[in-house]
Amino acid sequence: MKSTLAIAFLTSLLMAVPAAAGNPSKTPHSHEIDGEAAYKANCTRCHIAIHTYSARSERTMISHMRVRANLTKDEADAIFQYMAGEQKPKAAPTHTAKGAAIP
Amino acid sequence: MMTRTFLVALIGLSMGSFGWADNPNKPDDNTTPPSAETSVSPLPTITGGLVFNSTFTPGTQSYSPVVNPIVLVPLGNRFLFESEYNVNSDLTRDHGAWNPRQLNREIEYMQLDYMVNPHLTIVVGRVFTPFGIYIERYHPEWIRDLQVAPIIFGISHQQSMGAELRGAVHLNSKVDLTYTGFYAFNSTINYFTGDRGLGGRTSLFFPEKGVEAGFSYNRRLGDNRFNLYAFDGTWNMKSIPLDLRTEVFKTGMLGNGYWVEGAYRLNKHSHNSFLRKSQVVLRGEQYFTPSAADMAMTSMSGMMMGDNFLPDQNTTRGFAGWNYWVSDAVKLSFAFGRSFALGENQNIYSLGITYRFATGGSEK
Ligand code: HEC
Repeated sequence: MKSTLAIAFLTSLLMAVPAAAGNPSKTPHSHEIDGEAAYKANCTRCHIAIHTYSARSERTMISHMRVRANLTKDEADAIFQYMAGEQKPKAAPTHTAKGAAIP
Repeated sequence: MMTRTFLVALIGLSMGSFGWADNPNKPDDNTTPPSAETSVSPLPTITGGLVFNSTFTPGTQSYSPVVNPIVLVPLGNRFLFESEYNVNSDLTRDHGAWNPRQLNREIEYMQLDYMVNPHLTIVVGRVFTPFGIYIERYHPEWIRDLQVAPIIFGISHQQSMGAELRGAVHLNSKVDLTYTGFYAFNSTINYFTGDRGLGGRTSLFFPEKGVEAGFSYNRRLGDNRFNLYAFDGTWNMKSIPLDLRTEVFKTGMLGNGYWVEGAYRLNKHSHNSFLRKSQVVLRGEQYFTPSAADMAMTSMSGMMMGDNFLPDQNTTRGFAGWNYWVSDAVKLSFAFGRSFALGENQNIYSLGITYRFATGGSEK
């Protein structure tokens, strides 16, 4: 029972590499990733409110989150562009999980 | 045997990822969007939380101020040094008398991250032992929804000295696979202690649905050798502002248990700013002590795991809480809980304030 679980776990880890490596086209390029969608899908999973900082600090923090939250580089880059770049939402200084700013 | 299989798996995984980096057909780093990467260089940053928590159970009041600064030092675009410190004190008053004041200092983690390719980061140093979700995601009080951690956090609150391979791949446009594998060696160095062990966590994440299901396996190879298994699930609902999370642990000699938590933001329901800044939280949890057979195999008594104490009786606990954001950096939390254990049913009240800080200026 225990070894079955362990084997299932290992297999899933090992599957990851060939599955993706064999299908490079399935790994979206960063320009295909919609920063806003990636932001909403990822950042608000663990945070209710995310403050925005200066672009240079935000770069550091998003690298930090890339490692902490197991994001891919293209997601992290797209999210950075969304948060720091032109796409930044103008209305609210604070992005929140469910749309409304706090406060 | 399993240990060896696991090592082989880790090596295979890392080789796969390296090979991948060398694959000329892969878009990899070349696809970096033009402006972001090149024009903005990352800045060293200090962030963290200041917390004041108090919990009240019949006859006992405890107050715990906590400071946990995080230092982030980027070294170019591919390396990040990150470290979190925790200084806390436990001021406890037991039936009218203060217990001796304790000041605890701990290095939560101190690690160097090397972002090898878009899908793989190698981490070395003192890391949170990857097991379940609470330790990595909700250990900071400013992030968690209930200030009192689940009982089984006593099992997962653990650090290791060693290396991690972690990252994610898009299996297709709807599913991501994430992985974190670690190998740790035995260390008795002050502030950097850790047991030998290996294992990790893997999960499937469905971004559009906001659903993630993860599985963790650890093999501890310290004084006691045993396996631990965890399942975790999260669902951040899209249609209503409800987040559901759970962890289930099966850990043999450390016992078994689970928690299920739901957190609901009231912002959808009102224009009233008080309600819009509020969140209600419910958690149910159970902990089952190790069986006699599992206990017989261990040299541990009282089961002290770091700062966290595991109950010596089967325990069921429920919490209802309320959070209020005074600003996006300051959160007030109140919770009421009741714990049921043989002959030891009791109420628990907790009251806390957390402040999240960061250098780096505000971009308004
Ligand atoms: C898997 C959960 C998780 C996800 C997803 C996540 N974070 Fe975090 N975040 C954390 C944790 C945990 C911390 C506390 C730091 C630590 O433990 O190292 C944190 C800290 C932060 C901080 C404080 C500064 C810092 O770097 O410590 C900021 C800002 C932040 N996150 C923003 C984001 C953004 C933006 C995203 C989306 C890219 C994101 N987070 C995604 C868990 C997460």
